[in-house]
This record gives sequence, structure tokens and C-alpha cells, in this order.
Amino acid sequence: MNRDAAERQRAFTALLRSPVVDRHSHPEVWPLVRVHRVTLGEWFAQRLGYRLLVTDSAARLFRLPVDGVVLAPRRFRPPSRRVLVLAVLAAAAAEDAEDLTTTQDLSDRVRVLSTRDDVELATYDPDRFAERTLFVKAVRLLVSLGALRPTGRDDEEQREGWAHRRDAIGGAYEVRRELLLRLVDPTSLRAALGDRSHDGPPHEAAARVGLMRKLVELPVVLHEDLTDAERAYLTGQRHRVLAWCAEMTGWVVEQRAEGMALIAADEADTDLPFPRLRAADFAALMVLDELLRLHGVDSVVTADDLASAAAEVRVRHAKAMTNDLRTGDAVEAAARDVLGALDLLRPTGTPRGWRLTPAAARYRDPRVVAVTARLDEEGAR
Amino acid sequence: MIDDESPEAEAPADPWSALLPGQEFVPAYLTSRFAAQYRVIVDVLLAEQDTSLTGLSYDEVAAGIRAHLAARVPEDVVDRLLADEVLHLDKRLERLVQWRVLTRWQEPARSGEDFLRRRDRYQLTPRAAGLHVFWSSVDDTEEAAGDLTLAPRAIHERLVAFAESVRRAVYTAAATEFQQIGAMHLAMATAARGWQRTLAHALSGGPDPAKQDLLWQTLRSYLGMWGEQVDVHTPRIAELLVELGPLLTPEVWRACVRAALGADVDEELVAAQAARWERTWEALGSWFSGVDSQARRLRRQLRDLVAPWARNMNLLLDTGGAVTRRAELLALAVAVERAPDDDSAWRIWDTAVGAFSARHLLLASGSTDEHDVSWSAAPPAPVTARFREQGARAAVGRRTKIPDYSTGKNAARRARLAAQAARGSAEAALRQRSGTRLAEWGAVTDAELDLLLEFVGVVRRTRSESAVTGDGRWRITLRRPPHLHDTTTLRADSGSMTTLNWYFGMEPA
Repeated sequence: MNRDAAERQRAFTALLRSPVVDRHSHPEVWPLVRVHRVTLGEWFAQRLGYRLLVTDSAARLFRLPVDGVVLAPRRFRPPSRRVLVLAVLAAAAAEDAEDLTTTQDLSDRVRVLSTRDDVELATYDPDRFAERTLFVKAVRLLVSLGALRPTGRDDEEQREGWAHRRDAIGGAYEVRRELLLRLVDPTSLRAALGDRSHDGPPHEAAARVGLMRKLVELPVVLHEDLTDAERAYLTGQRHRVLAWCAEMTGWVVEQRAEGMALIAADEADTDLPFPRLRAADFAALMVLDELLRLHGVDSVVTADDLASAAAEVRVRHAKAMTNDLRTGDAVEAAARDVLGALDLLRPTGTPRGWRLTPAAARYRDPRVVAVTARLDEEGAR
Repeated sequence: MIDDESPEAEAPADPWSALLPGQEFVPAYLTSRFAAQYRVIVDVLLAEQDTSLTGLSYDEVAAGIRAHLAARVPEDVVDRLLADEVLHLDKRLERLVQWRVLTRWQEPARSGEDFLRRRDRYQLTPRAAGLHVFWSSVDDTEEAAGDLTLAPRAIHERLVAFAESVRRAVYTAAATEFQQIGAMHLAMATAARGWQRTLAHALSGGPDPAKQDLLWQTLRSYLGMWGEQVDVHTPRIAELLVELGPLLTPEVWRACVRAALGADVDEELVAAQAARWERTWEALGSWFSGVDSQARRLRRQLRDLVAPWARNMNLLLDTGGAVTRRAELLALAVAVERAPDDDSAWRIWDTAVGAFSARHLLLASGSTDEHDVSWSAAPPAPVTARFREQGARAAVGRRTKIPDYSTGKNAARRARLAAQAARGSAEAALRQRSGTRLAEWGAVTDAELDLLLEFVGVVRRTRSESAVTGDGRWRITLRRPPHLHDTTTLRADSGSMTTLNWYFGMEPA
């Protein structure tokens, strides 16, 4: 593979990982995106139905809905929805702010905005600590979307500490109007609000685009998740689909009888790398293994099953449990969150019921290595 | 009715105004209730100043007002506005005279007819004319006049001619050229000021079509007037300025001014004008000389404008001219807040913003393309679940070692003690040798030699025979031998020292 192809793949996977890329947030990827923007734009537009917008200072990937739908992986421990509301309000308030603004300034503006008669939202009350904490998170969300840019890298404490200190101005931010105005795409917004009146005829390449999106965005694609059209497209165009995936990402598609999964090459290519070397991931992996052993793939497990598997893991690997994991139902909660987000454990729709998806089997019988032994060996040397 | 127009005329006087310039009535015509009428009158008189040097008669003012209105409003409205019960021209003019906006005088009557008509003539006072020119130009973005195209080249050409005339001492020609340079300089300065104002205004806050238009006008007038010529002509102008600098003595400036004004002009007037011209000359220097000249700065400033302008333009095109998404954002906020559950709220957010991160499994297992084998039958992912058996953290790898400095510290302490002991014994040995010459010493230890060298240093620094050591304990005396060739060699383990055969004395100080 030549260097150009490798660079294109790097830029492509980086944009999948972070849809807002600029020279400050991604100094290494940004030049690649700039150089290969034409090819990348074509890939996104023709194969995925997305719009890639590259300006002189930032690149933004718009995941436009197809037939009113955008598929996103299930959130892993999402902040409360109040954060989303505050983030949207802060974005609206930032439009009027000066080019340089602060957390306090935005907070003041949002307070005024939320009390206006035409804004029928719960009033924002910055005098309450809980609201201030959420507001800090909302601002961080806007930063991740590129609408605000911290002016300095070293005042993290100032930004986060604003919730605690009434007399502080918080972090200083540059308002990036370009990205602020492009925060929401009008078509996407209409789809999000469930406005079907502007819907034209169904997307002509819905089957191809739908299949490709599921493959390049979601951890696992089961054949049963595909629509008839997508299944038909996959049957006819399997070779093409796989070639595209390889061309765009350089990753491997793991194909099995029940479905497919595009396996990322590097931890940095996904927002939830699993399993990482930490106790919570280890516990989740052990719980998954336990569930697989007891119930088998594709079975439905209840909260009780989960709790007993967690208890078993806690007993068997008592020495590996951190203080966090020792309290209450921390092990099953950790397992449920991370396995759910990875689509290895899928809610059945009934309360407290989950299904082990077939892909869970790829994590069976993990080799357990107790690290203490190694440390002791090193210590003895 | 009209009396309540004048601002604070009856108010008690402010004590400041007795000492400093105070209330001014000239601008009152802009703030009066009848400002529209007053402004038309002033406009008419101001326009006439370009062609007339003697002001306007009452009838001419009335005719001028009618013409002014006719150019701006429909015919029937003009009549309505000029009706006697609406426009009291007499009173308006009277009031303007009171406010010192106008001066009035009477023409002498030359014929019988003259006694039958009004002989009043009106002219704007200089201050009022200046104010109105300023006021009308405030929102005039087109103030950059077309004549100024090719400014740097024109300035350069005029400067060449000026230089030539100065060298040949033809001051009449030099004065003519420099007057043109002065005019161009003034016009450029005005234009640049206009650009600065526009830039500051248009670059602040969010973009909107009007601001974009303003920026575009500024860019265009800059390109038309200044443009690439700056690059071409700046070095040449700078060279000329340097070359000509020494020639332009105060006498030369005065000669130029005198040539422009005529021979029998007052010396004071000449000096004032010469000073003005010198200032213009210095201003030209700051415009064109040096790497950080004003011309280059202006150019950089305007160049930096292109990117935001283009960006905003794209933005406006992209968003169909919309410069706010507030309504849409608020709709989104409402939808998120009212979603039936958190999952739906997040789905709405993701659909609208579409800025989530893709998520993938890691660790490809062996044979990946066996699409007839189920996941439970295929080889599992090569995952190694490492964990640390003891301790609260799940970190792996080499355990951090706290550095152990104790051995080094002990060694250092021992070395320090040994050195102290050696020095103590050396001191005692040297004390015993006090009152002898070095030749009598024979072999010495390293510590004794070091200490002796230290003592020699102490004594030699004082440039006398004897000195007290730094710790104040010993007085050391080193006396030269009678003969300068009387030398000796002290031997120690670390080496030997050949020196004069000093007499060595070491007494408690």
C-alpha cells in the first residue's frame, strides 16, 4: 500500500472517530484531511451518504439522515439530557457573544435566554451547583463539536472549577462561528424533529448506504439487523462492500454466519476500546465469559443471571477487584454498560432482560494472566 | 413653539464653562425637532459653497430648498412641505443665525428695486460648514475618491519631479509638486481612516450580508487605490525619501513655501506652512520607509481580511444568508427536553447533530472471512485478560521504584568527615612548621599541600606579607627569601610544587 492510501485511510477513520477535525484538536490528521479532502468527500458522499465540509480552518462530517434515520452506536454512560438542552442553549447564546467569551458570559446569556417567554424550556438557574456542573459539561460538549475553542490549554482547572466558584469567570473560549452555524444541519434537524413533510422519495441508494453505515459506524452488524434490501445488496455485492471497507479503513471485516463486524486496528480508532487493561473491563470480560459458559450464545439473560455471574467473578477473582468494584452491584453495572455499548449484550425490550448477541462468542475463554507474579519476578531481579 | 428648541439655554451656568470651552450651539440644528428642515437648509448652503464665494440670497435659499426636495420626494409632497404653515423659512434662518450656523449680511442697495426686495445674504460659518461636512461623511462609505486611483505610483512620480526641482533649486516647480503630494497624502490618510473604521466594525460579531458588503467595498477600494502598487513603488519611494532627506533643510522648505505663496508674504505664515509641509514629509517617511512601514502594515491588515471575508461569504452562501440558527436550536432544545426518555433524547440529538463517534470491536481473530462459520465455532479474539492480583489499581508493568539514595548519602557523609579530619591534622602539622622556611619541610601530605596553597592564596590576595584566614582563626605570614633565586620544591603524593623558599608563619589570629 502506498503512502497516499495509508494517509487517506488515517484521515477517514479519524473523521469517523471525531466528526470535527481542525488543526488544534487534531494537528496530525488535519493536514491529511486537507490534502485528501476530494477523495474523502467522494467516499463519504457516495458510499455513506454523508457530507464532508472542509473549510480553511476545520473539517466537519455531517451524518445526514437517510429516510429520516441516522444510526449511532448506543451511548456509553451518557450525560443527562439536561446537558444536551444546556449545550443547545449555550450554542444559541454564543451566536450573540463576542468572538471571545467565557463560561460565565455564556451562563449569563443562557439564563436570560431560558427565561424568555418564547423559550418554553425549564429555566436555567446558575445559582444551583447541580446546574452549574451540568453547564460545564454542556460547554465541554460544544468544545468537542468545535463551536467553542478554549483559548489556552493550561486552564483546565479554571474551566472545570467554575461550577464550584461563584466569583470565577471559568474558561475563556473563542467562538467559532463557522462551526457554530454548522452545528445543526437543517435537513438533519427536520428529520430529528420528526418532520416528514419535506421528505422526498426514499433514498435511491438506501440499501447500499444503510449497509455501509452499519458496517463503518456500529460495532456489530447481524444479518437479522439488516433490511431485506440491505441483505439482498450484501448478497449481490459482498465483494464490493468488503473492498470498499478495506480501501477506506484498512481494517478487517470479520465475517461470520450470523453477521459481520469491522474490526478496528488501533485502540484510538474507536471511542470505547475493549478490553483495556483496567479492572472494570476485566470484570466485564469475565462476566461475559461466565454468561457464555452458563447460558450460551444468543440466549436471553435476566438481571438475576447477570448478578449471579458478577458474584461468581467477584469470588473467583477477589484479588483483582478494585475498591470501586467491591461496592454494591458495581461489577454487573460495569459489565452491563460496556457490553451493552458494544452491542454484545442487547436489551430485549422487556424490563431487565438482555440477549447475548452472537458476536459475544468472540470473547469466550479469554486467557487470564495474573500480573502480580510478573511484578514480583521483576522485583526480585 | 420654536423657543423650546434650544438646548438648556436657560439652565444655570456650569462653573467649568467660565474657564474652559463650554456650551456650543452650532450642532443644535441636528438635534432640534425641526432637524429635517434645518439640515436641508444647511445642505443647500453647503452645496453652494463649492460654486459660490459670496453666499446665497433669501430667494436663492428658497429655490435651492425646492430643488433639493424635488430631487428626493414626489412633486405633490414638495408642495405640501413648502407650504407656508409647514415651513417658516424666515424663522428657521433666523434660528440658524442665532445658533451661529449662518452668518447674515445685507447687500447694499444699488437701485430702486433693491429697496423692494430682501437683500439678506446667508453663508455658513466655517465651523458649521466643517461640522456638516463631517456629519454627512460619517456614514458615507464611498468617501474614497476615484481620483486617487494609482496613489503610490502618483506619489512616486510627484516625488521624482519634486526631487528634481529641489536639486536644481527650482522652488516654484518643487512647491507645485509638493502641494500635489500633500493633497494625495491627505486623501490617502482619510481613505485609510475610513478603511480602519469599516474593518473594525465589520469584523466584530457575527457576519451578516450588510457587513460583508461593507468589507467587500473596503477591499475593492483598497485594491483600486493601493493594491500591488505598494510593492512596486514602496522601495523606490523609500529610496527617494532617504536620498532627498539631507537636501531638505529648513531653508529649502521655506524657499518652497515662499515660491508657492509669493514673495511678499508674512514670515510667520511662511514658517507655519513650512512646518506643515515638513510634517507631511515625515508622515510619508513613516508610510513608506522600513520593513514595518505603514504601507506594509496596511497591506498585511487587508490581506488578513481576505480569509475571514471569504469564510463569511461561504458561510452566508451555505446557510442561505442566514446568520443565526437560534430558532432551529431552540426547537431542538425543546424536542430534546420533551423526548419521552433519555434514549429518544439522544437519538434526536444524534440525528440533528450527527457528531457521534464510530465504535468498533478490536482484536481480529484468525480466519476472518469464514462466513459460513458461526462466531461460537470460529476462533475467538486473541484477548488476554490481564489483571493485577493485589492492590487497588489495575495497572500492569514494572512496579515503580522509589529511588534509594541512602548509599550515596552515607558515602558523601563519610567523605565529608574524612576531609574534615584530614584538614584538621594538616592544620596541626602546618602549625608545627610555623616559623620555618619551606626548604626545611621535606615531604608533606596532600592535605597539607592543599591547605598551604589555600594559605598562600589568602596572603597573596592582600598583597602584603601577612593575612588572616577566612575563618578568622589563623594569621599567616609568608616572607620572601633574601635572594629571589632561593627556591625549593615541596613533594606530596598528588604532585609537587616548586616555589620560592618562603618563610612560613602560622599564629592564632
